[in-house]
Amino acid sequence: MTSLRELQVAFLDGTLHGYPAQISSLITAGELAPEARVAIYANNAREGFLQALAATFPVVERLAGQDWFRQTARQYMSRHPSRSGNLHCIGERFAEFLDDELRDTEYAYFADVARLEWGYQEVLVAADHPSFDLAALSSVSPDGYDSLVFRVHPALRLVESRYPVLAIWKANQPQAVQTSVSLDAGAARVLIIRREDHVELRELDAPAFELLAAFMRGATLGEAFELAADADETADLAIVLGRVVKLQALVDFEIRQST
Amino acid sequence: MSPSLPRAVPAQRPIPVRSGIGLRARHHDDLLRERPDIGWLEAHSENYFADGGAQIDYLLKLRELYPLSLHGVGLSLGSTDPLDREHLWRLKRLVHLSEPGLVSEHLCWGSVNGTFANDLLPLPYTEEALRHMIRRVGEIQDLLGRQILIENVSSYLEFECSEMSEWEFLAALAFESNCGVLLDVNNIYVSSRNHGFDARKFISHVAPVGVSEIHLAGHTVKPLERGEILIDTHSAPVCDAVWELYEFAIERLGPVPTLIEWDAEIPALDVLVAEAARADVRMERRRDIAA
Repeated sequence: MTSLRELQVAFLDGTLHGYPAQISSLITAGELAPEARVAIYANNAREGFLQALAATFPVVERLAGQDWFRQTARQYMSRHPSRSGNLHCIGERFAEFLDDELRDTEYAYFADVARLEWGYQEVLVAADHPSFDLAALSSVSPDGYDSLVFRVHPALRLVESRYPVLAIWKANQPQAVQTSVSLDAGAARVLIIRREDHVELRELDAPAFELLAAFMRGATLGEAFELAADADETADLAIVLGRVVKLQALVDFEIRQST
Repeated sequence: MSPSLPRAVPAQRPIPVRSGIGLRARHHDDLLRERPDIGWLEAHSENYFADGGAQIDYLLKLRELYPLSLHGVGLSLGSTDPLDREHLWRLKRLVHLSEPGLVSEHLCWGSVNGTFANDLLPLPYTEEALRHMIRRVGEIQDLLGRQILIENVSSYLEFECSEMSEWEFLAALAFESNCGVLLDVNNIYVSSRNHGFDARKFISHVAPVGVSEIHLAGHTVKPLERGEILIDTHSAPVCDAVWELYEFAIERLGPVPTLIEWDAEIPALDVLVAEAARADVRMERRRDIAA
Protein backbone atom coordinates (compact mmCIF):
# COMPACT_ATOMS: atom_id res chain seq x y z
CA MET A 1 0.00 0.00 0.00
CA THR A 2 1.17 3.50 -0.85
CA SER A 3 2.26 5.47 2.19
CA LEU A 4 1.10 9.06 2.68
CA ARG A 5 4.65 10.19 1.93
CA GLU A 6 4.87 8.20 -1.31
CA LEU A 7 1.49 9.48 -2.40
CA GLN A 8 2.46 13.09 -1.76
CA VAL A 9 5.80 12.80 -3.57
CA ALA A 10 4.16 11.15 -6.59
CA PHE A 11 1.23 13.56 -6.64
CA LEU A 12 3.26 16.76 -6.43
CA ASP A 13 5.72 15.49 -9.00
CA GLY A 14 2.84 14.64 -11.31
CA THR A 15 1.12 17.94 -10.72
CA LEU A 16 4.09 20.25 -11.08
CA HIS A 17 6.02 18.38 -13.74
CA GLY A 18 3.19 17.26 -15.95
CA TYR A 19 3.36 13.47 -15.69
CA PRO A 20 -0.09 12.68 -14.31
CA ALA A 21 -0.02 9.20 -15.90
CA GLN A 22 2.34 8.11 -13.10
CA ILE A 23 -0.24 8.79 -10.45
CA SER A 24 -3.47 7.97 -12.22
CA SER A 25 -3.62 4.56 -10.56
CA LEU A 26 -3.88 6.31 -7.18
CA ILE A 27 -6.96 8.29 -8.18
CA THR A 28 -10.60 7.27 -8.46
CA ALA A 29 -11.68 7.86 -12.06
CA GLY A 30 -15.46 8.45 -12.00
CA GLU A 31 -16.89 10.53 -14.83
CA LEU A 32 -13.64 12.31 -15.35
CA ALA A 33 -10.31 10.60 -16.05
CA PRO A 34 -7.63 10.87 -13.33
CA GLU A 35 -5.36 12.79 -15.72
CA ALA A 36 -8.00 15.46 -16.20
CA ARG A 37 -8.51 15.71 -12.43
CA VAL A 38 -4.78 16.17 -11.82
CA ALA A 39 -4.75 18.74 -14.62
CA ILE A 40 -7.12 20.93 -12.58
CA TYR A 41 -4.59 21.01 -9.73
CA ALA A 42 -1.71 21.55 -12.17
CA ASN A 43 -3.59 24.49 -13.63
CA ASN A 44 -4.40 25.94 -10.19
CA ALA A 45 -0.76 25.73 -9.12
CA ARG A 46 0.46 27.31 -12.35
CA GLU A 47 -2.12 30.10 -12.41
CA GLY A 48 -1.53 30.92 -8.74
CA PHE A 49 2.20 31.12 -9.38
CA LEU A 50 1.86 33.19 -12.57
CA GLN A 51 -0.58 35.64 -11.02
CA ALA A 52 1.61 36.13 -7.97
CA LEU A 53 4.68 36.64 -10.15
CA ALA A 54 2.86 39.11 -12.41
CA ALA A 55 1.66 41.02 -9.34
CA THR A 56 5.27 41.30 -8.14
CA PHE A 57 6.77 42.26 -11.51
CA PRO A 58 4.13 44.39 -13.28
CA VAL A 59 6.72 46.50 -15.12
CA VAL A 60 8.58 43.47 -16.50
CA GLU A 61 5.22 42.06 -17.60
CA ARG A 62 4.28 45.32 -19.26
CA LEU A 63 7.63 45.62 -21.05
CA ALA A 64 7.73 42.01 -22.16
CA GLY A 65 4.06 41.53 -22.98
CA GLN A 66 1.70 39.04 -21.37
CA ASP A 67 2.49 36.10 -23.65
CA TRP A 68 6.22 36.31 -23.19
CA PHE A 69 5.81 36.87 -19.47
CA ARG A 70 3.58 33.82 -19.03
CA GLN A 71 5.91 31.61 -21.01
CA THR A 72 8.96 32.84 -19.11
CA ALA A 73 7.15 32.54 -15.79
CA ARG A 74 6.38 28.89 -16.56
CA GLN A 75 10.05 28.19 -17.27
CA TYR A 76 10.99 30.04 -14.09
CA MET A 77 8.45 27.98 -12.13
CA SER A 78 9.92 24.72 -13.38
CA ARG A 79 13.46 25.82 -12.53
CA HIS A 80 12.61 27.60 -9.28
CA PRO A 81 9.34 26.19 -7.93
CA SER A 82 7.85 27.81 -4.85
CA ARG A 83 9.73 26.88 -1.68
CA SER A 84 7.31 28.59 0.69
CA GLY A 85 3.69 28.43 1.74
CA ASN A 86 3.69 32.18 1.25
CA LEU A 87 3.38 33.05 -2.45
CA HIS A 88 4.87 36.48 -1.82
CA CYS A 89 8.30 34.80 -1.68
CA ILE A 90 8.39 33.32 -5.18
CA GLY A 91 9.99 36.27 -6.94
CA GLU A 92 13.26 36.11 -5.05
CA ARG A 93 15.27 34.55 -7.88
CA PHE A 94 13.42 36.01 -10.88
CA ALA A 95 16.01 38.71 -11.66
CA GLU A 96 18.83 36.16 -11.51
CA PHE A 97 16.81 33.85 -13.78
CA LEU A 98 16.22 36.65 -16.29
CA ASP A 99 19.95 37.41 -16.21
CA ASP A 100 20.66 33.84 -17.28
CA GLU A 101 17.92 33.78 -19.89
CA LEU A 102 18.47 37.17 -21.47
CA ARG A 103 22.19 37.83 -21.16
CA ASP A 104 23.58 39.25 -24.41
CA THR A 105 20.13 39.91 -25.83
CA GLU A 106 18.47 43.28 -26.36
CA TYR A 107 16.19 42.43 -23.42
CA ALA A 108 19.01 42.01 -20.90
CA TYR A 109 17.73 45.08 -19.04
CA PHE A 110 14.57 43.19 -17.96
CA ALA A 111 16.70 41.54 -15.26
CA ASP A 112 17.60 44.87 -13.67
CA VAL A 113 14.01 46.08 -13.90
CA ALA A 114 13.05 42.87 -12.07
CA ARG A 115 15.75 43.61 -9.49
CA LEU A 116 14.19 47.02 -8.90
CA GLU A 117 10.68 45.56 -8.59
CA TRP A 118 11.86 42.88 -6.18
CA GLY A 119 13.62 45.55 -4.11
CA TYR A 120 10.35 47.49 -4.05
CA GLN A 121 8.46 44.41 -2.82
CA GLU A 122 11.03 43.73 -0.11
CA VAL A 123 10.89 47.32 1.06
CA LEU A 124 7.07 47.16 1.31
CA VAL A 125 7.22 44.35 3.87
CA ALA A 126 10.50 45.06 5.67
CA ALA A 127 10.63 45.91 9.36
CA ASP A 128 9.95 49.39 10.70
CA HIS A 129 12.62 51.28 12.59
CA PRO A 130 12.41 54.47 14.66
CA SER A 131 14.34 57.38 13.19
CA PHE A 132 17.89 58.18 14.02
CA ASP A 133 18.85 60.47 16.89
CA LEU A 134 21.63 62.56 15.37
CA ALA A 135 22.46 64.11 18.71
CA ALA A 136 23.79 60.78 19.92
CA LEU A 137 26.63 61.09 17.42
CA SER A 138 28.05 64.05 19.31
CA SER A 139 29.15 61.68 22.06
CA VAL A 140 31.61 60.05 19.64
CA SER A 141 35.10 61.52 19.86
CA PRO A 142 36.67 62.43 16.49
CA ASP A 143 39.30 59.71 16.77
CA GLY A 144 36.47 57.17 16.85
CA TYR A 145 34.88 58.32 13.55
CA ASP A 146 36.74 55.81 11.42
CA SER A 147 35.36 52.96 13.57
CA LEU A 148 31.73 54.09 13.34
CA VAL A 149 29.43 51.44 11.89
CA PHE A 150 26.07 52.74 10.72
CA ARG A 151 22.95 50.64 10.61
CA VAL A 152 20.95 51.17 7.43
CA HIS A 153 17.13 51.36 7.54
CA PRO A 154 15.70 47.83 7.21
CA ALA A 155 13.18 49.06 4.58
CA LEU A 156 15.90 50.20 2.18
CA ARG A 157 17.38 48.55 -0.91
CA LEU A 158 19.92 49.63 -3.50
CA VAL A 159 19.85 48.65 -7.16
CA GLU A 160 22.62 49.43 -9.60
CA SER A 161 22.25 48.99 -13.33
CA ARG A 162 24.01 50.00 -16.51
CA TYR A 163 20.56 50.84 -17.83
CA PRO A 164 18.31 53.76 -16.82
CA VAL A 165 16.08 51.41 -14.79
CA LEU A 166 14.42 54.07 -12.67
CA ALA A 167 13.33 56.05 -15.73
CA ILE A 168 12.04 52.80 -17.27
CA TRP A 169 10.19 51.91 -14.08
CA LYS A 170 8.60 55.36 -13.82
CA ALA A 171 7.56 55.41 -17.48
CA ASN A 172 5.75 52.10 -16.96
CA GLN A 173 3.66 52.96 -13.93
CA PRO A 174 -0.10 52.73 -14.56
CA GLN A 175 -0.60 56.49 -14.18
CA ALA A 176 2.52 57.50 -16.17
CA VAL A 177 2.28 59.78 -19.16
CA GLN A 178 3.56 58.01 -22.23
CA THR A 179 7.25 58.74 -22.72
CA SER A 180 10.07 56.87 -24.34
CA VAL A 181 13.28 56.06 -22.51
CA SER A 182 16.51 55.37 -24.37
CA LEU A 183 18.35 52.32 -23.11
CA ASP A 184 21.54 54.26 -23.79
CA ALA A 185 20.54 57.02 -21.38
CA GLY A 186 23.16 55.79 -18.94
CA ALA A 187 23.58 53.83 -15.75
CA ALA A 188 21.35 54.19 -12.71
CA ARG A 189 22.06 53.83 -9.00
CA VAL A 190 18.71 53.64 -7.31
CA LEU A 191 17.74 54.00 -3.68
CA ILE A 192 14.43 52.36 -2.71
CA ILE A 193 13.24 53.38 0.74
CA ARG A 194 9.94 53.15 2.58
CA ARG A 195 8.63 56.42 3.97
CA GLU A 196 5.68 57.00 6.29
CA ASP A 197 3.00 56.32 3.67
CA HIS A 198 4.78 55.51 0.41
CA VAL A 199 7.87 53.97 -1.12
CA GLU A 200 10.35 56.46 -2.49
CA LEU A 201 12.65 55.66 -5.41
CA ARG A 202 15.42 58.07 -6.29
CA GLU A 203 18.78 58.07 -8.02
CA LEU A 204 21.95 58.55 -6.02
CA ASP A 205 25.33 59.70 -7.24
CA ALA A 206 28.20 57.23 -7.15
CA PRO A 207 29.83 58.19 -3.82
CA ALA A 208 26.52 58.29 -1.89
CA PHE A 209 25.53 54.94 -3.40
CA GLU A 210 28.88 53.35 -2.54
CA LEU A 211 28.78 54.75 0.97
CA LEU A 212 25.33 53.27 1.63
CA ALA A 213 26.24 49.99 -0.05
CA ALA A 214 29.30 49.75 2.20
CA PHE A 215 27.19 50.45 5.31
CA MET A 216 24.78 47.73 4.25
CA ARG A 217 27.68 45.29 4.15
CA GLY A 218 28.66 46.32 7.67
CA ALA A 219 31.70 48.40 6.75
CA THR A 220 33.08 51.01 9.14
CA LEU A 221 32.92 54.67 8.19
CA GLY A 222 36.66 54.58 7.44
CA GLU A 223 36.24 51.65 5.04
CA ALA A 224 33.10 53.14 3.51
CA PHE A 225 34.85 56.46 2.87
CA GLU A 226 37.62 54.65 1.00
CA LEU A 227 35.07 52.91 -1.24
CA ALA A 228 33.18 56.15 -1.83
CA ALA A 229 36.43 57.92 -2.72
CA ASP A 230 37.21 55.16 -5.24
CA ALA A 231 33.87 55.93 -6.90
CA ASP A 232 34.60 59.66 -7.12
CA GLU A 233 37.91 60.94 -5.82
CA THR A 234 36.78 64.58 -6.06
CA ALA A 235 33.80 64.12 -3.76
CA ASP A 236 33.75 65.83 -0.36
CA LEU A 237 32.92 62.78 1.73
CA ALA A 238 31.70 64.69 4.77
CA ILE A 239 29.09 66.34 2.53
CA VAL A 240 28.20 62.98 0.99
CA LEU A 241 27.70 61.51 4.46
CA GLY A 242 25.55 64.50 5.39
CA ARG A 243 23.33 63.85 2.37
CA VAL A 244 22.98 60.18 3.26
CA VAL A 245 21.96 61.11 6.82
CA LYS A 246 19.43 63.60 5.42
CA LEU A 247 17.87 60.84 3.33
CA GLN A 248 16.98 59.19 6.64
CA ALA A 249 18.73 56.12 5.33
CA LEU A 250 20.60 55.46 8.58
CA VAL A 251 18.89 54.40 11.77
CA ASP A 252 21.59 53.63 14.28
CA PHE A 253 25.33 53.39 14.83
CA GLU A 254 27.91 51.70 17.00
CA ILE A 255 31.65 51.96 17.44
CA ARG A 256 33.45 48.87 16.22
CA GLN A 257 36.07 47.93 18.78
CA SER A 258 39.38 47.17 17.14
CA THR A 259 40.37 43.55 17.65
CA MET B 1 15.34 33.77 15.12
CA SER B 2 13.12 34.54 18.09
CA PRO B 3 9.75 36.24 17.91
CA SER B 4 9.76 39.92 18.75
CA LEU B 5 6.83 40.64 21.00
CA PRO B 6 6.29 44.38 21.00
CA ARG B 7 2.87 44.68 22.59
CA ALA B 8 1.07 43.55 25.67
CA VAL B 9 -1.91 41.33 24.96
CA PRO B 10 -5.30 42.76 25.85
CA ALA B 11 -8.26 40.42 25.82
CA GLN B 12 -8.99 39.22 22.32
CA ARG B 13 -12.38 40.08 20.86
CA PRO B 14 -14.47 36.97 20.29
CA ILE B 15 -16.03 36.44 16.87
CA PRO B 16 -19.76 37.24 17.21
CA VAL B 17 -22.50 34.95 15.92
CA ARG B 18 -23.05 37.14 12.87
CA SER B 19 -21.71 37.30 9.38
CA GLY B 20 -18.31 38.69 8.52
CA ILE B 21 -16.34 39.26 5.35
CA GLY B 22 -12.94 38.21 4.07
CA LEU B 23 -10.47 41.09 4.34
CA ARG B 24 -8.81 42.07 1.06
CA ALA B 25 -6.19 44.82 0.64
CA ARG B 26 -8.33 46.70 -1.89
CA HIS B 27 -10.97 47.25 0.81
CA HIS B 28 -8.60 48.47 3.55
CA ASP B 29 -9.28 52.17 3.01
CA ASP B 30 -13.01 51.71 2.31
CA LEU B 31 -13.44 49.78 5.56
CA LEU B 32 -11.66 52.41 7.62
CA ARG B 33 -13.64 55.21 5.99
CA GLU B 34 -17.11 53.64 5.71
CA ARG B 35 -17.04 51.33 8.73
CA PRO B 36 -19.90 49.20 7.40
CA ASP B 37 -22.09 47.27 9.78
CA ILE B 38 -20.51 43.83 9.55
CA GLY B 39 -19.84 41.48 12.42
CA TRP B 40 -16.17 40.71 11.88
CA LEU B 41 -13.28 40.40 9.46
CA GLU B 42 -11.20 37.43 8.45
CA ALA B 43 -7.69 37.96 7.08
CA HIS B 44 -5.53 35.46 5.22
CA SER B 45 -2.64 35.11 7.66
CA GLU B 46 0.02 34.96 4.93
CA ASN B 47 -1.02 38.36 3.56
CA TYR B 48 0.14 39.89 6.84
CA PHE B 49 3.41 38.01 7.37
CA ALA B 50 5.38 41.21 6.72
CA ASP B 51 7.98 42.41 9.23
CA GLY B 52 6.51 45.91 9.02
CA GLY B 53 4.88 48.34 6.62
CA ALA B 54 1.44 49.47 5.55
CA GLN B 55 -0.38 46.11 5.42
CA ILE B 56 0.32 45.32 9.06
CA ASP B 57 -0.65 48.87 10.03
CA TYR B 58 -3.99 48.44 8.27
CA LEU B 59 -4.64 45.13 9.99
CA LEU B 60 -3.93 46.59 13.41
CA LYS B 61 -6.18 49.59 12.75
CA LEU B 62 -9.01 47.41 11.45
CA ARG B 63 -8.81 45.05 14.40
CA GLU B 64 -9.62 48.02 16.63
CA LEU B 65 -12.90 48.38 14.69
CA TYR B 66 -13.88 44.76 14.08
CA PRO B 67 -13.28 41.41 15.74
CA LEU B 68 -10.66 39.59 13.68
CA SER B 69 -10.16 36.01 12.59
CA LEU B 70 -6.94 34.71 10.99
CA HIS B 71 -7.24 32.15 8.25
CA GLY B 72 -4.13 30.38 6.97
CA VAL B 73 -3.80 29.04 3.46
CA GLY B 74 -0.15 28.04 3.33
CA LEU B 75 0.87 26.00 6.34
CA SER B 76 0.67 22.69 4.45
CA LEU B 77 -0.64 21.05 7.58
CA GLY B 78 -1.11 17.58 6.08
CA SER B 79 2.31 17.42 4.43
CA THR B 80 4.71 14.68 5.52
CA ASP B 81 7.51 17.29 5.52
CA PRO B 82 8.36 18.79 8.91
CA LEU B 83 6.32 21.94 9.57
CA ASP B 84 7.98 25.05 8.15
CA ARG B 85 9.51 26.78 11.19
CA GLU B 86 9.72 30.17 9.49
CA HIS B 87 6.04 30.01 8.53
CA LEU B 88 5.07 28.98 12.05
CA TRP B 89 7.15 31.71 13.60
CA ARG B 90 5.51 34.34 11.40
CA LEU B 91 2.07 32.95 12.21
CA LYS B 92 2.80 32.98 15.91
CA ARG B 93 4.06 36.55 15.72
CA LEU B 94 0.95 37.63 13.80
CA VAL B 95 -1.35 35.91 16.31
CA HIS B 96 0.42 37.71 19.11
CA LEU B 97 0.22 41.07 17.35
CA SER B 98 -3.38 40.91 16.19
CA GLU B 99 -5.02 38.81 18.93
CA PRO B 100 -7.55 37.15 16.66
CA GLY B 101 -10.80 35.70 17.99
CA LEU B 102 -10.29 32.60 15.82
CA VAL B 103 -7.35 31.01 13.99
CA SER B 104 -7.95 28.49 11.24
CA GLU B 105 -6.22 26.34 8.65
CA HIS B 106 -7.21 23.64 6.15
CA LEU B 107 -7.64 19.90 6.05
CA CYS B 108 -5.14 19.56 3.24
CA TRP B 109 -1.49 19.54 2.28
CA GLY B 110 0.37 21.71 -0.21
CA SER B 111 4.02 20.74 -0.29
CA VAL B 112 6.49 17.89 -0.12
CA ASN B 113 10.31 17.78 -0.20
CA GLY B 114 10.24 21.53 0.34
CA THR B 115 8.41 22.28 -2.90
CA PHE B 116 5.03 24.01 -2.67
CA ALA B 117 2.04 23.87 -5.00
CA ASN B 118 0.55 26.81 -3.04
CA ASP B 119 -2.79 25.08 -3.36
CA LEU B 120 -5.11 23.20 -1.02
CA LEU B 121 -4.44 19.59 -2.06
CA PRO B 122 -6.73 16.83 -0.81
CA LEU B 123 -5.51 14.15 1.57
CA PRO B 124 -6.24 10.47 1.22
CA TYR B 125 -8.70 9.69 4.02
CA THR B 126 -6.71 6.89 5.59
CA GLU B 127 -5.99 5.93 9.18
CA GLU B 128 -2.33 6.89 8.58
CA ALA B 129 -3.28 10.37 7.32
CA LEU B 130 -5.68 10.83 10.24
CA ARG B 131 -2.97 9.99 12.81
CA HIS B 132 -0.62 12.34 10.99
CA MET B 133 -3.15 15.21 11.00
CA ILE B 134 -3.94 14.67 14.69
CA ARG B 135 -0.22 14.97 15.49
CA ARG B 136 0.20 18.06 13.34
CA VAL B 137 -2.86 19.87 14.67
CA GLY B 138 -1.61 19.09 18.18
CA GLU B 139 1.78 20.54 17.30
CA ILE B 140 0.24 23.82 16.04
CA GLN B 141 -2.15 24.12 18.98
CA ASP B 142 0.73 23.59 21.41
CA LEU B 143 2.87 26.12 19.62
CA LEU B 144 0.17 28.79 19.44
CA GLY B 145 -1.17 27.93 22.87
CA ARG B 146 -4.75 27.93 21.60
CA GLN B 147 -7.30 25.93 19.69
CA ILE B 148 -7.33 26.18 15.90
CA LEU B 149 -10.19 25.46 13.52
CA ILE B 150 -9.77 23.10 10.59
CA GLU B 151 -11.66 23.66 7.36
CA ASN B 152 -12.77 21.10 4.78
CA VAL B 153 -11.53 21.92 1.24
CA SER B 154 -13.08 21.62 -2.21
CA SER B 155 -11.65 18.71 -4.14
CA TYR B 156 -11.54 17.55 -7.72
CA LEU B 157 -10.35 14.02 -7.10
CA GLU B 158 -10.49 11.23 -4.55
CA PHE B 159 -7.74 8.79 -3.73
CA GLU B 160 -8.30 5.07 -4.26
CA CYS B 161 -6.63 4.26 -0.94
CA SER B 162 -9.12 6.26 1.18
CA GLU B 163 -10.54 4.15 4.00
CA MET B 164 -13.21 6.57 5.23
CA SER B 165 -15.25 9.51 4.02
CA GLU B 166 -14.04 13.09 4.30
CA TRP B 167 -16.73 13.83 6.92
CA GLU B 168 -15.71 10.84 9.04
CA PHE B 169 -12.11 11.99 8.78
CA LEU B 170 -12.92 15.58 9.75
CA ALA B 171 -15.14 14.58 12.68
CA ALA B 172 -12.53 12.14 13.99
CA LEU B 173 -9.79 14.75 13.66
CA ALA B 174 -11.83 17.33 15.58
CA PHE B 175 -12.75 14.80 18.26
CA GLU B 176 -9.26 13.46 18.78
CA SER B 177 -7.17 16.60 18.43
CA ASN B 178 -9.63 18.93 20.12
CA CYS B 179 -9.52 21.35 17.23
CA GLY B 180 -12.61 23.23 16.14
CA VAL B 181 -14.36 22.73 12.81
CA LEU B 182 -14.66 25.42 10.19
CA LEU B 183 -17.38 24.12 7.92
CA ASP B 184 -17.08 25.47 4.40
CA VAL B 185 -20.55 24.90 3.00
CA ASN B 186 -19.54 25.90 -0.52
CA ASN B 187 -16.65 23.41 -0.42
CA ILE B 188 -19.01 20.67 0.74
CA TYR B 189 -21.33 21.51 -2.13
CA VAL B 190 -18.53 21.63 -4.71
CA SER B 191 -17.03 18.32 -3.56
CA SER B 192 -20.45 16.65 -3.26
CA ARG B 193 -21.22 17.54 -6.87
CA ASN B 194 -17.76 16.50 -8.05
CA HIS B 195 -17.77 13.16 -6.26
CA GLY B 196 -21.47 12.39 -6.05
CA PHE B 197 -22.06 12.29 -2.30
CA ASP B 198 -24.90 13.70 -0.23
CA ALA B 199 -23.83 17.12 1.08
CA ARG B 200 -26.40 16.95 3.90
CA LYS B 201 -24.90 13.71 5.13
CA PHE B 202 -21.53 15.48 5.45
CA ILE B 203 -23.07 18.24 7.58
CA SER B 204 -25.17 15.89 9.70
CA HIS B 205 -22.16 13.73 10.48
CA VAL B 206 -19.95 16.65 11.53
CA ALA B 207 -22.67 18.52 13.48
CA PRO B 208 -22.29 16.57 16.77
CA VAL B 209 -18.62 17.53 17.19
CA GLY B 210 -19.58 21.21 16.94
CA VAL B 211 -18.84 23.84 14.32
CA SER B 212 -17.25 27.15 15.31
CA GLU B 213 -17.38 28.92 11.96
CA ILE B 214 -18.96 28.59 8.53
CA HIS B 215 -17.55 29.75 5.20
CA LEU B 216 -19.68 30.67 2.20
CA ALA B 217 -18.34 31.55 -1.24
CA GLY B 218 -19.03 31.37 -4.93
CA HIS B 219 -17.68 28.73 -7.29
CA THR B 220 -17.41 28.22 -11.04
CA VAL B 221 -19.02 25.45 -13.05
CA LYS B 222 -16.69 24.17 -15.75
CA PRO B 223 -18.45 22.19 -18.49
CA LEU B 224 -16.69 19.03 -19.67
CA GLU B 225 -17.21 16.79 -22.67
CA ARG B 226 -19.25 14.60 -20.36
CA GLY B 227 -20.86 16.36 -17.43
CA GLU B 228 -19.20 19.19 -15.57
CA ILE B 229 -16.87 19.91 -12.70
CA LEU B 230 -17.24 22.59 -10.04
CA ILE B 231 -14.17 24.68 -9.23
CA ASP B 232 -13.87 26.57 -5.97
CA THR B 233 -12.89 29.99 -7.32
CA HIS B 234 -14.25 32.42 -4.69
CA SER B 235 -15.03 34.69 -7.62
CA ALA B 236 -18.82 34.92 -7.57
CA PRO B 237 -21.86 35.37 -5.31
CA VAL B 238 -22.99 32.42 -3.20
CA CYS B 239 -25.32 30.32 -5.38
CA ASP B 240 -28.89 29.34 -4.41
CA ALA B 241 -28.03 25.70 -3.81
CA VAL B 242 -25.29 26.72 -1.36
CA TRP B 243 -27.68 29.09 0.44
CA GLU B 244 -30.11 26.15 0.81
CA LEU B 245 -27.34 23.98 2.17
CA TYR B 246 -26.39 26.79 4.55
CA GLU B 247 -29.97 26.92 5.83
CA PHE B 248 -29.81 23.19 6.41
CA ALA B 249 -26.50 23.62 8.27
CA ILE B 250 -27.80 26.27 10.66
CA GLU B 251 -30.94 24.22 11.25
CA ARG B 252 -28.63 21.50 12.53
CA LEU B 253 -26.04 23.69 14.22
CA GLY B 254 -27.94 26.81 15.21
CA PRO B 255 -26.54 30.17 14.08
CA VAL B 256 -22.74 30.11 13.67
CA PRO B 257 -20.30 32.95 12.80
CA THR B 258 -20.44 32.95 9.01
CA LEU B 259 -17.90 34.37 6.60
CA ILE B 260 -18.40 35.52 3.02
CA GLU B 261 -15.21 34.80 1.06
CA TRP B 262 -14.56 36.55 -2.23
CA ASP B 263 -10.91 36.35 -3.25
CA ALA B 264 -10.87 36.69 -7.04
CA GLU B 265 -12.60 39.28 -9.23
CA ILE B 266 -13.16 41.03 -5.92
CA PRO B 267 -16.24 43.28 -5.96
CA ALA B 268 -16.80 46.65 -4.31
CA LEU B 269 -17.13 46.55 -0.53
CA ASP B 270 -20.89 47.21 -0.55
CA VAL B 271 -21.48 44.09 -2.66
CA LEU B 272 -19.67 42.01 -0.04
CA VAL B 273 -21.52 43.69 2.80
CA ALA B 274 -24.85 42.96 1.07
CA GLU B 275 -23.86 39.32 0.62
CA ALA B 276 -22.99 39.11 4.32
CA ALA B 277 -26.40 40.57 5.19
CA ARG B 278 -28.03 37.65 3.35
CA ALA B 279 -26.37 35.27 5.80
CA ASP B 280 -27.50 37.43 8.75
CA VAL B 281 -31.10 37.32 7.53
CA ARG B 282 -30.96 33.53 7.49
CA MET B 283 -29.46 33.37 10.98
CA GLU B 284 -32.15 35.76 12.26
CA ARG B 285 -34.87 33.62 10.73
CA ARG B 286 -33.34 30.59 12.42
CA ARG B 287 -33.30 32.39 15.78
CA ASP B 288 -36.98 33.35 15.35
CA ILE B 289 -37.93 29.76 14.66
CA ALA B 290 -35.93 28.54 17.64
CA ALA B 291 -37.43 31.18 19.97
